[in-house]
Amino acid sequence: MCDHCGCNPTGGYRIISPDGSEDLASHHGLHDNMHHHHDHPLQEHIHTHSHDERPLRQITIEQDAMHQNQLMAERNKGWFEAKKITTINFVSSPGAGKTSLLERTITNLIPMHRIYVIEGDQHTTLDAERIRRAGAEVVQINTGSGCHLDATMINKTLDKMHLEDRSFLFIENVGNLVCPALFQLGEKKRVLLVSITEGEDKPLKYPYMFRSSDLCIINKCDLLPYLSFNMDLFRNNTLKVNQRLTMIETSVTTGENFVAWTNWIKEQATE
Amino acid sequence: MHEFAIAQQLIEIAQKSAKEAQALVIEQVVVDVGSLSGVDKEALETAMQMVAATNGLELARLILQTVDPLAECHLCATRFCPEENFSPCPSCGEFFWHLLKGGEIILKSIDIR
Repeated sequence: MCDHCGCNPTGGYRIISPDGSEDLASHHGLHDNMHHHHDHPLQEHIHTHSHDERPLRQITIEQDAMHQNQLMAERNKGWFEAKKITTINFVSSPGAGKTSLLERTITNLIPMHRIYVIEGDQHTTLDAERIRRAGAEVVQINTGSGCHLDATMINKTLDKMHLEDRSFLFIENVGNLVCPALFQLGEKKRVLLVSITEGEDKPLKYPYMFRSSDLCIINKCDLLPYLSFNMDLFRNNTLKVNQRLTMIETSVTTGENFVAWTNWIKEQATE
Repeated sequence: MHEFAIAQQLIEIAQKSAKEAQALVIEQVVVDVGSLSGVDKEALETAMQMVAATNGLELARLILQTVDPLAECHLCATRFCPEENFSPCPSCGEFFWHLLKGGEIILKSIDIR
């Protein structure tokens, strides 16, 4: 609970740095608005006098709810471009294999490339620890009850990291096919990971996520002999929702066709 | 849910605008909710009421208006109203279109005193 006004900001999140230090942050721009001035007018009026003597005015605003996040995302993006950092936002449902994909990708790229990772989960640093063991510098964001990462969280986390020019930044979003779709982080590309165990109708059920992504990695293809998954149907459903979505079939476990993915990543590297 | 994060943004924009206009109270907030925005209108309304209450703001009237989608086909330039994110163009049957409206959440206006 906030000391200033007693409100309960449910939007608190933690940024956990490699040295173990933690920073608590709040989504609450509202907090700053409320506490800049002690005699905040919108706070005082509530139970006191009648305002009927004041004229009623309508103010046209016409502002997109996502405007603030979009502005911050563009700030992040500008910074990445200036430093020639290739930033990829990885999204998927929980358990599709994002962390495993990153582990294998890091092992593959590390000899020739500098890689940083921002991990997003509701709780624990388990994924960050796996990434650290794979050899990349990583910072964990714990969103608490939050269901997605946003551009401000990324912006604040970048302050805790020392990213070199011409490096890769992989952001592993919270496992969730719904909410992260709406929040740009400033990434260069968005990679959606789907496993064949999830079924062919995923694109139709989660159109916003499929529409907002640039590449779809179809994972766990080593399990194809054991499932009745129809790859053509999945591809057709995907193209119905997003004609521009490139697809790569692979198995992170066996490494089947993994080179198609690592080639794609290298192609994205900002010149 | 993401409706909560969006509600926080909307209330923040409303409060900032009201403060700039030196208002004492916000009596009405009007929001356009695109039906293909990925946001549930009822959930957003509930979230906005919760966020407003949390911030000591009494909203006499909260009006959420649905905006029907309007799409334009990249291939044949036909404009149509897609029912879903994967509806085909009624003219050419392809799925290569983009939204002109109906995909956003817009804070339209506030009534203040």
